[in-house]
Amino acid sequence: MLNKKEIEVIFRTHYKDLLNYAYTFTGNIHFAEEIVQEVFLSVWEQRNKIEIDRSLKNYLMGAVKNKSINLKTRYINKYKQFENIEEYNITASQEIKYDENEFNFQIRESIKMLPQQCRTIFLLSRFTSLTYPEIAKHLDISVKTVETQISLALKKLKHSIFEFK
Amino acid sequence: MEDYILISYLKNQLKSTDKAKVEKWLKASPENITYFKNLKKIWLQAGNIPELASPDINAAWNRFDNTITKRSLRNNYQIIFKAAAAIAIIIGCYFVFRLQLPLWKAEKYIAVSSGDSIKKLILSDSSIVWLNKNSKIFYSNKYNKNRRKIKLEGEAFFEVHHFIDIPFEITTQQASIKDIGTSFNVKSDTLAKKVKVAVVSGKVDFSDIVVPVNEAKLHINQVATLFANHSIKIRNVNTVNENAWLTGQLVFHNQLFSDIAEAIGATYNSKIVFADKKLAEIRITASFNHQSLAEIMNVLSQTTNLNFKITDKEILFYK
Repeated sequence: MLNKKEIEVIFRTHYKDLLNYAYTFTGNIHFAEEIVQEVFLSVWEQRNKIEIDRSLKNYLMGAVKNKSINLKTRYINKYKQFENIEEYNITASQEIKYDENEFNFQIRESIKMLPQQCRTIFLLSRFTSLTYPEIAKHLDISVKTVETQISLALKKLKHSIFEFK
Repeated sequence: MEDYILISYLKNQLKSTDKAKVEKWLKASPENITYFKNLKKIWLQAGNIPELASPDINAAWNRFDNTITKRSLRNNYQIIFKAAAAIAIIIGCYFVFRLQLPLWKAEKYIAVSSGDSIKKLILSDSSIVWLNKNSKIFYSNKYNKNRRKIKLEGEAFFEVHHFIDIPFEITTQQASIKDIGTSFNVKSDTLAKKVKVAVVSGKVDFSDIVVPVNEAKLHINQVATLFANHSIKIRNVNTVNENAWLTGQLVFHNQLFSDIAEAIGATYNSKIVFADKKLAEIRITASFNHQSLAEIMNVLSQTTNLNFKITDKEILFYK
């Protein structure tokens, strides 16, 4: 049994990790935020059945993964639209949402441009402490694929930077 | 040196042997060091998303809190509507129940006693019960042609209406009498603790209530008595005299005076005794129709050429 106060504690404790993890699937902050919201809403609906124990975080991570995959398959076009809107906003006003650093901007854009699996692998490597074998197991692919995709992602990122110092 | 290996090195996820290889590569030339530094820069920037590094948790929590508050309100309204509906249904059921009460009436038992006279009772299945004096029957207010069970105290003659496969059951303190469509006499004597059944027509199952396996199947012109010691005695006799209390008819055909005395005694609730054992063995043929005890005694006296004396307790025949 969980009450609202307990859920708030869990929320605040794990929010950052869950958000980062969701981002590795979506490559998009808004969807990542929405996924985390939905995961906690499920927790709220089930609050009478859930107990807090060591595996709660794993449970939440699993929920994030499921929702991310579901969201992707259902709204694959929406993802693209969203990305376009972001682009539009930036070119129109030259105001970058995140920060002024163009270098940073370029990198973020090229991450978005990565092929889907390549992007997921790269983001998992970047935002979690998973090793390549762990990522391979997580995505049910070979370690070799993971290694190749990491190198490929970095290669693309390098090409997108016009200043290379 | 592959980029993915360098990244692993950056993340400090390499085995010591591989780690040594990378460090060796780095030491090999300054270009390598520069390459590595640039790669590191890209790696760091790729992860430099403020919203991910320091997300606005307060805003996120508020957003969540608002959503669940709205849902709670909506749920509360739903609960109120459902409760109201449930109450309406319960009230509705109550009124339906009240109107339909007769169908669900509680089971009650009806008692009929005869008192000073013989009573005739016709049951809802058309069966007839003739209650002898000072006798009682009990039956449920739900007695119908599908469920026919009666309790008897005293004596009664039953003419059971025939329904295929639906038994008619009479229980006394000691016995259970079951039949389907017959006529028979039941006399339950709770003082002497015996029950006597005489079958006038049809068939009857007669069993001991305490020991149900102790039973007898009786047919026409059989009289069975269940005694206090649980024994059942069956006699094959003309049962016509067994309900003489009702019919007023007593017919004897060359029967022993002792048997006749018993039959008359049972019918008129008196005791007939003999001064001499031999007198009891006299055989008599006689029939009586609605005659008083005195008249019967006179006829017997004349027929046998014996005298009789009536006292409080008994009638004594002597030479």
